[in-house]
Amino acid sequence: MIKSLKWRDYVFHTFCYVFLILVAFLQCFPFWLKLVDATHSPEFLPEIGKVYYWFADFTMQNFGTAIQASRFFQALGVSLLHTCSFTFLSLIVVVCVGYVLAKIRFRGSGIVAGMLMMTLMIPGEVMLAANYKLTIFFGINTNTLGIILPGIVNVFGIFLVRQYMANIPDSVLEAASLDGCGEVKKLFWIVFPMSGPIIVTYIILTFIGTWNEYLFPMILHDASHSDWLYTLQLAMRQFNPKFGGAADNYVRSAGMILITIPIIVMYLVFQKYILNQSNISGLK
Amino acid sequence: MEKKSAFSSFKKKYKNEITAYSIIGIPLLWWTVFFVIAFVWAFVVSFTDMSRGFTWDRVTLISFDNYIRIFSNTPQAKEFWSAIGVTSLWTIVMLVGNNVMGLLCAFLIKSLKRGGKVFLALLFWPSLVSAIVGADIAQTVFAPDNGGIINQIIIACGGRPVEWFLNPNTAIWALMVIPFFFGFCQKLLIYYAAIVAIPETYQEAAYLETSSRFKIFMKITLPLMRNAILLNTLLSLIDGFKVLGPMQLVTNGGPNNKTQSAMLLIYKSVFEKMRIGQGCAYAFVLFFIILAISIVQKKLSGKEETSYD
Repeated sequence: MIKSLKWRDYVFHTFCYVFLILVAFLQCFPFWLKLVDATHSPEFLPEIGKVYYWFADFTMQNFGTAIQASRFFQALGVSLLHTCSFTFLSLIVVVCVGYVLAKIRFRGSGIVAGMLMMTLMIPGEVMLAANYKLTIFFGINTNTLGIILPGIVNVFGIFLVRQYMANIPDSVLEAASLDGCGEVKKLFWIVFPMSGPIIVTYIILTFIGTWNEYLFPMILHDASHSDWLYTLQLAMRQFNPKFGGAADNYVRSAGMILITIPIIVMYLVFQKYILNQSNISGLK
Repeated sequence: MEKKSAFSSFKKKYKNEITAYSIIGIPLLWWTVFFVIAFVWAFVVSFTDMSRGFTWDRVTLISFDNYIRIFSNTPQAKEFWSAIGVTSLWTIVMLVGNNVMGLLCAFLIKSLKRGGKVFLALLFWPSLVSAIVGADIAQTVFAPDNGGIINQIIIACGGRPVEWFLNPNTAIWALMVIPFFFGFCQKLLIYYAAIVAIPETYQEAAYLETSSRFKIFMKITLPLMRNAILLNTLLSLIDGFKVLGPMQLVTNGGPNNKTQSAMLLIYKSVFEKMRIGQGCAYAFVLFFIILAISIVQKKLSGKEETSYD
């Protein structure tokens, strides 16, 4: 009986490893193909009907070409500006509103929470045209503010943070009040440090989401062609043959690798926080 | 004197309200502008024939014409319902596929004795990749003739190469593959968090009864992960209904509108064809469909909470 159990355990574990390795391989393999593609020299003529799995005629030249053709560093700057300021502003909003909804008992809190909750059900499609019109109305449709400001009240984030802050014991806050701590002081000196994990989670989720955002910047950029809207995603879009990019296959692959690198670097640096499961269990 | 005390008693009585609204006042105002006003604006526009840019000059109210067009036998109706079909298909496949795959991988990673963290890290990172890169990879992998790796495999197995993105029957399925493989990782992380949070004692107790892992998973683990499943379902629905990236970047809705999602249709009507009124009407019909679905889902899911106490 026990012996058969062990044998089954062994088979099961082998299956686990084989399956997971297979999945990880299938996920990583396309990027390897892209990398191989990106390192062919421009003069290299591939055999028709052959997929290259290993470097042939290795060069780093395509990366340089891609950086030049896409004005990479300018786009990187705009992307960083967009992502950082959006993450920062929306974090402040989310923390303040989340705190008030979680910890202050006031008349109308139910109505406020309910109204905000309703917004979660509105699909992005409904807001597309209207938000574009609003950016024109406020005169921010030709600069980075146009892609930063419309979304900074992130309702999903508010509920995420509120859920977490609701678990902070009231006694801590009462003790602070007795010591003469005002609400704003309480928020920034007590609640903010105590909600570390959820704030880190929120920052990471927002950062990645904003970095990869592409629809709204594209709409604004296509209308005005302003350099202040030229994010990294749009810079790489021009290599897509459908959008009339002249770049050949190798440069395009190099561009795709380039655009993925910042995200990978961020992942490696913050991996500990991203994968920390206790942060996410706050998502309940 | 009298007045001052009245004021201070007012201040005392409404102390919490004053603090609360002074903190959330500006965000609420912001929200009102970018959600409420935007929503109302789009709703009003959906009853007009706005089509010469985003201005109100020479715009007339045409009452329900935009909506009637969606519900009668017109090209617009055909396009819209086909887009709804594509979006629904996409959402259902992604919902089921991503969640099953995420659950499976979370379960397998949890049961590993060693190296669980490594696999978690390895499997998660593709969900950080942007739609542009995903689209480019799809074009590479599913390249027509014998240029792409999938067709190479088909040829090696003795089949005929498929023009994946030009064939109306295969285009949508070929589009799904990459978002499926890169998208389930986020679900995986949430499921893994939920699986790890289940106390070991539960499983140990179950092992005394049965040695079937499958049975334990179905009877013990799965019901305890209810919250994570609900959250992931919600996230999949939200993401699924606004899908646009893969379609726009790879096929642009072609062949034969077979890959035109609702979001792509609305984007095209508003920003390419400049039929803003019609586009907003599309969006609102979609909104009511989603509203109905979420009400039904709320009714079905109830309001129980999982707790391990």
